[in-house]
Amino acid sequence: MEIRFEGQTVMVTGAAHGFGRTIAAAFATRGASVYACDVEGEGLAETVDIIGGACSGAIVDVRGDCGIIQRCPECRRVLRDGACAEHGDMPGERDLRLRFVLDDGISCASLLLNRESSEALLGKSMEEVVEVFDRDGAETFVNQMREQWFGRSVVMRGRAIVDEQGAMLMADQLELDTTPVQQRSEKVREQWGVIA
Amino acid sequence: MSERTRSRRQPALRMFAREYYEASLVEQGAGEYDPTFVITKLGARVNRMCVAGLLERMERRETEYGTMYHGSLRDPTGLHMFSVGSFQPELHADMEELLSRHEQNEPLLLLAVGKANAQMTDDGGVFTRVRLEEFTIIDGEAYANWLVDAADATLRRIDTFQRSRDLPQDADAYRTADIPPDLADSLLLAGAHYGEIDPDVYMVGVLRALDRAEGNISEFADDAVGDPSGSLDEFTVDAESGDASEGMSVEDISKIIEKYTLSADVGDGVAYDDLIGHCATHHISRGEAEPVLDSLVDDARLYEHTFGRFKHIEAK
Repeated sequence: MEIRFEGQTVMVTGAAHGFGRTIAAAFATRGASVYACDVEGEGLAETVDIIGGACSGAIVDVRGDCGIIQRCPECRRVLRDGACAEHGDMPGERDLRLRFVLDDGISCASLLLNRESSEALLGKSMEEVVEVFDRDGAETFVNQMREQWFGRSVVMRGRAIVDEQGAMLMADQLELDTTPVQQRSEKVREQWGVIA
Repeated sequence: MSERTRSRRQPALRMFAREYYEASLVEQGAGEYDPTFVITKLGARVNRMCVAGLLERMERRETEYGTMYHGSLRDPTGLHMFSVGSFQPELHADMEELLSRHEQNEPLLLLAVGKANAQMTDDGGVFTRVRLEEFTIIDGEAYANWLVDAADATLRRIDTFQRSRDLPQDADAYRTADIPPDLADSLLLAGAHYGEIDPDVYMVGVLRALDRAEGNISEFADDAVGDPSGSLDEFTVDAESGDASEGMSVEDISKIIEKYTLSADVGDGVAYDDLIGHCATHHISRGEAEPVLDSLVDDARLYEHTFGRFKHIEAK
């Protein structure tokens, strides 16, 4: 008989490596919500990549290349000035993506939203974003994104990859962290034993 | 963690003003592209930071290199000084707008991400400030959230600092004791540079911030504590620090101090910084308040209940 943990939350410390990671993965595959914790951000991101997961932090940067991009039809690389680094001049295929930097004060990572996640976040189809882009220009779009998202506390669900550039988070879903401040404050007091 | 590639982005530390402006240890990167860090007394190694507060002062300065902007953000522990350089023209339009709204006395809460920047002062001290990368105007709720984040981060540092004090001061001992790697090396450097420090001053800031976040203190004015670093002197243009208290007698100042000590005491006295900060809201400088405070203690109207905290003789 397999024990299941649907609807339950498990906190796993030291989840960046070794048995902490194994425990986190085991709970996740048996249906638990796992809070994977570690001071070592990269290892933790790998764990999240393995089990899929959620993490939270603040958006500390909205990249200037958010919005409509052109991709190489051969290799999906982003075209620069209509050319692919690998395949040269190419007729681009339109795509939509958003790029942020997510930061929790101890570590930070690029946060990428693909077309589907971006559409969900913006509440607009790619075609509608193209219209905005053509009408107002890329800069206006990016400025609006900055106004809306810079400094916001968010929760992202998705996967993580780690390469030599650092950690990158691929968000399936991104939403504002709406935990009431009172509750967050109480949690902080409890964690560090600070009496109100 | 220290073997990062040189281009890797540095995380934005949440930090209250006091911890940052009391820092005087600078770790200069060896190479041209290596980041510079400011190391605080609690061992935080700051390159990038995320700060917030009430915009208290703001000015434009014309320099030989072009236009610069300087300002300060007040949080419950003091002032974060910030600057925008002439080489950051992309921020100048925003700064002008901010300046004009500030000059119309609009209260503005800001959240900002920026780089740690340290300069030597004429007297050989170190003056730290934040060079803005990006900022946004936030509402009270977002500010409350930042207060909680900064409190959380500070408590983590205080906790780590306290654990580290009981250990042999070397990297191996720290590793064995699970001192987090983002703090271990810098805690050793901080210990060597600052010597004995009292983390309680930072705990006071944390408690004040959490109270503020939970709505127990609601007015911005209550954040107006003193700025014991003296680094305000860097800002030579200060319309409010003039002689506004001129003509105020010792009796007047005594009354203000006594009244505040009675009303703000919730049982364990009133902190020196708060007292001086309260006087500042009445345009009484530290230099004027201190001798009056001393004479009140000499006259036994007030007494130092615990170190740095004063109680009124008539308090319950």
